[in-house]
Amino acid sequence: MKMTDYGLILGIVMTATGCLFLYNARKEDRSAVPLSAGLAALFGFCGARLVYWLCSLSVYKDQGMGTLFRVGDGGLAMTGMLLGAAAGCALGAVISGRKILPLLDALTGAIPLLILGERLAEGFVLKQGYGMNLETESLWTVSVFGSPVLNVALIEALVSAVIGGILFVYRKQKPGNTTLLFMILYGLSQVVFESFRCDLHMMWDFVHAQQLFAGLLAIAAVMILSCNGKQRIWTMILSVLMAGMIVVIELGLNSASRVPLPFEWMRQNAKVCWYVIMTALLAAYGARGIRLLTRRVRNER
Amino acid sequence: MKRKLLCVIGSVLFLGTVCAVMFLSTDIRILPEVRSSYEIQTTQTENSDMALLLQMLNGNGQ
Repeated sequence: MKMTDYGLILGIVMTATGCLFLYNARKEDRSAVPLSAGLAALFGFCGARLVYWLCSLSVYKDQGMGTLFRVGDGGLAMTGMLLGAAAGCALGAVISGRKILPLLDALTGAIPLLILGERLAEGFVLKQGYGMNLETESLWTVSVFGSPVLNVALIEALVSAVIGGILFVYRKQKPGNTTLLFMILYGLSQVVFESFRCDLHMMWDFVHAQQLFAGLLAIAAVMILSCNGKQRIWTMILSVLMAGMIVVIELGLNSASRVPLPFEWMRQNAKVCWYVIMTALLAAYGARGIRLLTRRVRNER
Repeated sequence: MKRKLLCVIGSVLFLGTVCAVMFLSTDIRILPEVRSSYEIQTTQTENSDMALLLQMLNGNGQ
């Protein structure tokens, strides 16, 4: 067993995230932070491995349950980490006799720092997390076999920094709002980024498992924000429509013959067109979520 | 007293997990079947481009 550069960076970033968690927490909750952080780290690590293992059962099924604990064989799933960390933090709050939501808000305010560090390490140390080919070389591409390839991990790192900044400014809100905002921003942005990636694992046919989980995270947040029956029905309809459209777009990206674009100029720039449509859809859905959140903040005052 | 005990348990748990992550996160975190082909490729041909391509195609599941 040896420590790698990647492992060292993860350790440093986890420690920094723990410190930010402590800083974000309200004064009366700070005594509960060590236990919540400890359980969040443990559950997050276990959740990340469990979700990765479950999504890769086609590979692991013949090798037995032992592969679940061999973390070096394969990888970890970010969505599993988020769910595990949230569960661990909630358990820590319950054991310490504190309210769950304020501690969860403090943790989600710190999580983008962890994602930022992990993505930078992934892109620059592991040299993984690359995506589709691009025709032009830029700051966002790396050269593989002389062809410029999109460095998705770097873009994810930058977006995490932006989300972290927004959550930091927004951290003094009523309990639960920071977590919901994180779920919307991270979930919707990750739907696009997971589509960019060329990972051949954690996929069911053309469906990226992480993309699905991230989308569900955002939908869950918007559903929670829809407080009355009429809003819930509208959100449900919009969620189904958005999910359906994303499936159609993924089909189009996967095979141009399955879902052809209507115009020649669109067909010539098919990938760009599909991603523009996807981003516009997600932005519209995100705008509804933010509007509901703003309304909730106004009502709470 | 109970609060202090929980703080100590939490801190030990957190630092223990950080250490576990530091030592268990390997450089090449790709599926075993792909890793074996990666290792064969890098050992036999020492073709770094091929290794890079395999890493790129398989990502690390995050």
